[in-house]
Amino acid sequence: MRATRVAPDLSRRQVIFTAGSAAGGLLIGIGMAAAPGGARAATVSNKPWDDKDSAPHELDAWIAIDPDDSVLIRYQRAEMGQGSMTALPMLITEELQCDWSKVRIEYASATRNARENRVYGNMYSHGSMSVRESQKMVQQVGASARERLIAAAAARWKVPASDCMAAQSVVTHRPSGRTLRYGELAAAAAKIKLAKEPTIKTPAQFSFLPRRMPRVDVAHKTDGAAKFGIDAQVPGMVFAAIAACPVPGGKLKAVDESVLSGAPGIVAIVKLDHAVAVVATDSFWRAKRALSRLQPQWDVGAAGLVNSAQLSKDFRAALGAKMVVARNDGDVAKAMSRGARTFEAIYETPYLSHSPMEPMNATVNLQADRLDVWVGSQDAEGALHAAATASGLEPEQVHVHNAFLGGGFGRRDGNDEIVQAIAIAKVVKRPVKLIWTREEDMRHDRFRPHAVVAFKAATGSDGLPTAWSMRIVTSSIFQSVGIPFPPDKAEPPAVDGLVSNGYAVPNQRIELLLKNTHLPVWFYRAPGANQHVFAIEGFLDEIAAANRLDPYRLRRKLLAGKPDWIKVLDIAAQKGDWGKPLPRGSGRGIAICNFTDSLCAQVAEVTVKPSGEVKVDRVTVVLDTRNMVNPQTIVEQAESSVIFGLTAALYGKITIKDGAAVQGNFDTYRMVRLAEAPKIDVHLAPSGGEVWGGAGEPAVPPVIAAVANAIFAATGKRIRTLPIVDNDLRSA
Amino acid sequence: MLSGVKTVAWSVVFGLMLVCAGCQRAALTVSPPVSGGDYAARTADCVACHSIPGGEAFAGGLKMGTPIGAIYSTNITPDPETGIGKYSLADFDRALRQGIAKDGHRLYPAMPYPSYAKLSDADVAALYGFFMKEAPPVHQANRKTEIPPVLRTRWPLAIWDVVFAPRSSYAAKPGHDTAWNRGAYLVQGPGHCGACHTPRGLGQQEKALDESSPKYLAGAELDGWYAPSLRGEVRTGLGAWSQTDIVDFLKHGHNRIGAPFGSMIDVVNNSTSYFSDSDIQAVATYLKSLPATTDQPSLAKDTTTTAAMMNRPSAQPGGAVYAGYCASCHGFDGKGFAPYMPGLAGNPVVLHDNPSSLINLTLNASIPLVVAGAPDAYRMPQFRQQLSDQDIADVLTFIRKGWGDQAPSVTTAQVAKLRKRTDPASDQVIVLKMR
Amino acid sequence: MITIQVNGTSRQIDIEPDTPLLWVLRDVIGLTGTKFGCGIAQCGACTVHINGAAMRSCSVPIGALDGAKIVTIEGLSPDNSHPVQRAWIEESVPQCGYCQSGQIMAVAAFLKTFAKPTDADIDANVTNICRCGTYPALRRAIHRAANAVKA
Ligand code: FES
Ligand code: FES
Repeated sequence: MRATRVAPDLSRRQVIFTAGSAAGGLLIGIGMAAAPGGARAATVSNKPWDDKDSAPHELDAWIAIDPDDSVLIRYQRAEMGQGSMTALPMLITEELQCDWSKVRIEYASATRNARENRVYGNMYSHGSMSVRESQKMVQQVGASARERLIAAAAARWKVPASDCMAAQSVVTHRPSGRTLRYGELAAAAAKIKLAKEPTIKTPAQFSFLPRRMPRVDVAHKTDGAAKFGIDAQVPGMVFAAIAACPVPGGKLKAVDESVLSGAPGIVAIVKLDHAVAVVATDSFWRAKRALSRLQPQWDVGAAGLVNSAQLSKDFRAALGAKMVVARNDGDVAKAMSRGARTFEAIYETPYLSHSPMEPMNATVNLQADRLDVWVGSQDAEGALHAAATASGLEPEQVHVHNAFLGGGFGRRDGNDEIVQAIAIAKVVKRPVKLIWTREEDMRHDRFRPHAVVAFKAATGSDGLPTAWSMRIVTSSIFQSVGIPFPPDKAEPPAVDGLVSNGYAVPNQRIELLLKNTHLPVWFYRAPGANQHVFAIEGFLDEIAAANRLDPYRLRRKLLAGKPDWIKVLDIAAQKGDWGKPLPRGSGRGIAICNFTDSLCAQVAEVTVKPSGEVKVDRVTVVLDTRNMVNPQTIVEQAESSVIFGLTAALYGKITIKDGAAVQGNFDTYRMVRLAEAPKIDVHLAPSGGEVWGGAGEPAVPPVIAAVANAIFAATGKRIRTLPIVDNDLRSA
Repeated sequence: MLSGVKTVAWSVVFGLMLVCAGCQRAALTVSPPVSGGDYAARTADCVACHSIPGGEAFAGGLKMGTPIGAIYSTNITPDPETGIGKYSLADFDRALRQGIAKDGHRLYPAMPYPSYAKLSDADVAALYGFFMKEAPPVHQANRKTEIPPVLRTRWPLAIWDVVFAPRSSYAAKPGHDTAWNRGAYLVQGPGHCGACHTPRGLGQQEKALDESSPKYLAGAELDGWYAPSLRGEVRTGLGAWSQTDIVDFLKHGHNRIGAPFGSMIDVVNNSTSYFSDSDIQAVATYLKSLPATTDQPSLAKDTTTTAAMMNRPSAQPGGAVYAGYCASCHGFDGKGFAPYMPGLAGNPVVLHDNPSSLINLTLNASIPLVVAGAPDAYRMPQFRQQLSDQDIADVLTFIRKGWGDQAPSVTTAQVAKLRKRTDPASDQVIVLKMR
Repeated sequence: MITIQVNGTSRQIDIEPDTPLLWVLRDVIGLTGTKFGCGIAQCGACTVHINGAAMRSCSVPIGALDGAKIVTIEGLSPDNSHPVQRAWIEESVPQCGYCQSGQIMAVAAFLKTFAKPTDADIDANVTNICRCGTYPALRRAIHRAANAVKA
């Protein structure tokens, strides 16, 4: 029996038709309407780590087809809510022409990747890469399998393969109408080697995609069944709590262990180079409570004197230093001297903590010749290699059981929790579950860097900028991560959101100075852009205001000759009611950016109360990801990005005092809650073409800028420093 | 009219007395009593003011904010250059009980010498022995006061001392048993409870120094907190507390009714939790003997209407805030989870007219309680960032009128004022932020 | 020894009385659907029903719960069929999903008192944090669940 298909069938034709036809260019309606009852198509286990390294009836490392036609598709990235666990198998299904209702999805094994010459390629999920970086590869996987199944049928029938076609898990011999099910062909297909790899479809040739499809992990996430790393339960497991030196880079000097002597249920106190951990028999709570009684002493060195105010001064002071050039168009100095008016401003954005909802954790079972790691990692392959190094075992001896991730946002690939758990396991010689408290998670984050951008611009008599200089001081993510990069070049995450601006300003110079501190910095959802776009779009707004130009029209003029940019901008303005009157105290702001090959424009509507309180009433998002697999998850990601960006814009700030992060939990590091969530309208405007854009991040940067610009429209006060709550917006 | 100079000089006294309970206190672990001197230092809570978090015990350096500039507590370790190593017993005694340093300068009355004046000679000697022989010497220069030189004149303090500071050790009161007298000594002398709990007069002096006055320990606002009455009022004092409740509170930091906050955390962390059982009982005995100053009707508890109100946001806006942010720990019935999370229904701190402590706690929460080396299992979160003045006024009003509590409403202006005064980033802050 | 009833089964718990219910559920009983997010009653990821009321189990000491009836996400319905769960699936609310057990438990209790909630009721009463920002879908799902209960 065929399972009912749940999602309304939104065919490719409809998408393109709608996208191309609406005046002003609209698009896809987004009301949700999954079938009641939660009938599912493809399935996934609630316990991803039960996934096997191999399966019967494999065609290859990616696909296995059982005699009953059920199809196992391996998914090589990490599911943290972004939906790629559904999207990538959908892409395979598009080529494989199998019945989606018979698909079962499994995590691919990082161990197998290590063993079999990286058969799965890159396994990480960051940079909105899951789909766009592996789209060609997984399509090829599906297409090859399909052709092998067809070849197997053709051989059985002794007919030319070109007379056969595949659809819905059935191969049909067109002339005779004979059919064979995939389940009947899989064993033979597994032995077939194609002489030539088939060509994959272009998006225009898709028949199954794009399609709104319920995500396969949703039902498991509504009844408590979905297993996250923190949920791992291993027989004989003990529980560890850890306190690392509050000042990153500091070392453990001494700890008086005697205060825990005789405490019941304590397995060990483990001293690490930079941290101390307590291991307890029966609960994390016992470990945490015991840990709280230790008063470790730390060696923090000069880092213990660092504080935010000083850092801000230092970064600003460095704005005048010699920098590395990231982009240099025309002759800025000359154009600047000829401008009718000139403008200057400094924008500043603070350190931020990723704070995924699931605090960092790892469960490990270390044996002489085998290491098992249960974790939610954005990069199971990276985790495996980190675990191999930390344990001294070979990569093939390490088994990373990736879980659902309780949020990532860039944080879940540092592997620090895994390395710690292994170090603890070496001491206690039992399976260990290590959990970071929220405080530990926040204070030992690898932060979104602090950045200062100094702008200068000149405008001509028409008010349009003719010259534009942007000088950035921030810290090197590449160095923190360990990515080698020539020092005389500008590392992309430090400048990208500025360099990638689409504006036709003939003279532009963008320069960078990297100033590193003791604080580790890291990729953070829409890295770089989440700071740069706020800055550049805010500064452009300043120019518009000073020249009495409409911010939307100014942008439109500067984007002349870029129809794709203009299209998203126009739709945003139209759908966001740009120019329509608003009550006193309210205002609209607009912003646009290009990130991960996607374009996103937004209009935000805010109300600022006389007390200075900001309420974001409505955000209109227009997103062009070029191509789409599952529009539903793209909409979800856009909504998610808006909320994520709003938290950063309104409240986000990690303050450094005596070298350590001050904020330690959600009472001091505030999150947007439901009551503060604006109405969000998402409009998808895929422009097609060869390139695939990302979906998980590009809507983060513009919301920050659009809200700041809307506040200016409402109050006349310009936000140059984040978070917004640190600005005095009271009306006199 | 007062001359300019006098006004300035008096403001020194005013300012200092406002902050004698300082803020950034150390939660130091010091080994359990090994001698009489160590124990006496515990009862007098020397470590709370003469240490900073992460610093060496008794090396001083605690910043105490005043409206005219900050002062710092001093090094009282036996280091001869920077500490009190050169003090004779007589010098030590004069500083402790009269507030005059070895070089003759007068100590600011942030040092509670008006209370310490009641110390027995034996305790003074024990303390001296401890600070000379047992406290490890720490070479750490005292930090200079930040009070501008023109305001630094200390001679008015001499007059203040003559007028307000008592001169003799505690003498046992006839007609009371040993426990009561021991309790009275501990409360009035080393424990210096009156420094926070007794209302102050115009000269910032404590209005009473012992139980002969109904003002003694009758409750006072200090440092943005309201230190409640320790007398027998049924609603706002200790009238509803049993002897055991008081003992639990001082010994363990919680009891079935409430939990300490603000400066009282320091007191429990560093002092009362180290008291011997008999001394704690003595303190409780003495406190239970202080009669109520006002007759208060006992509470008629009513949890049903209040619980219903939480579900009607329009009827009582604070009810929704309570349900969303408070109920999980303090219960829909306002009973909390004693002894870990204090109840709010019938809690004297909730019931008092002065809402300062409630506002302060809601905005800034409290530093952690550390008893017997173990930090408290649960902590109050801060709501400074998450709740507006209106939200806080609403929810506190709801709490103060809920469950039959019937205390006056809290206004947004009251919240706004404390928010500003307790904001570490404000230039008008007079209270350093309570962690 | 504390006796509690969890999803209809009686359990004897022998552990320090200050241990939060959250860790009893997760580590002692092995019900991991209830999540740890903050430990200070701020995020709601640990929300369960205690005697019918939604409470944040990270801040409820087991010592105070003798005799209490507790329902966790695992016990909300036998087959993911509670109207709130169904609405959650239909609106595709969960993203990473980590906060959702708590969201669902909070909303299930909320709908018992607010059978037909307005947006303002929802704003005032549903205060759990979702770092993935599923709030728009969450709001739609609450209305959908309310309608389903009514119907
Ligand atoms: S873990 Fe309990 S509320 Fe966050
Ligand atoms: S779905 Fe990820 S935190 Fe809510």
